[in-house]
Amino acid sequence: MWIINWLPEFVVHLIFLAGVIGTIAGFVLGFLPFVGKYKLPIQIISLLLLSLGVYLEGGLAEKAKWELRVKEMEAKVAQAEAEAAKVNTVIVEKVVKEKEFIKVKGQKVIEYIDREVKVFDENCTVPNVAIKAHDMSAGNELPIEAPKTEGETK
Amino acid sequence: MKKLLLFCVASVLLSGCATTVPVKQKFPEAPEILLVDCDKLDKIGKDKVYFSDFLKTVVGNYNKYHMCAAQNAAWKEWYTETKKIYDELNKQ
Repeated sequence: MWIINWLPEFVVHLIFLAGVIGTIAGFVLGFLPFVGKYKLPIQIISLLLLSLGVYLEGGLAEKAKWELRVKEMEAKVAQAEAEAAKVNTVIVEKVVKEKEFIKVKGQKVIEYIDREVKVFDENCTVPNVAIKAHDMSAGNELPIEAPKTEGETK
Repeated sequence: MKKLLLFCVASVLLSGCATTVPVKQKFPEAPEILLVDCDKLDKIGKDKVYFSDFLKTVVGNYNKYHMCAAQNAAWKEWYTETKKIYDELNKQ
């Protein structure tokens, strides 16, 4: 409610209080000479003030309720952010550890190749087409067909 | 006088129309380690190569795949866990 944000809180209380006092004065203290003279205007104005005051007091109470809910929500958001940060830490630790394991395992396989496979290097040659196929696959490229010889085209 | 009264009543009635959204939720930050791109696979890049070296390149590429798969699994875990936290927050 913009009017609540714009009006200072004490003005709202003042309007309500003036409405209450005016209503009492207008309806109960009619025997007093000054009040008796302006009885009707006092009654009308004070009833209007009282209505406005009740409305604004209601708005003020609603605002306070919302502010409380906002504070609660802010606390929950902060808690969620803290929990998310905790999750992030756990995940980072897990990934770092897992990548380290993968690296070590890969290193062990390389050692195994050096120990067990290297001996076949002299007898086992890798054909050039196999290397090409590997590189194309690694680069996610389409195979480049070798140009066909004259005999093949016929 | 009537116009003034009408204005007062209208402004009081309209005063209930203004609403604001005071609590802002930040988009959750993912860990930096998950934002890194997966490594590109190695090529042999030579016409002749020993079988063991060929195999080492293949093994190295498998390793890169496993690293990337671990990162992808972590992404999935991050999404699931973070979603759980924020769903819980909005449920209350």
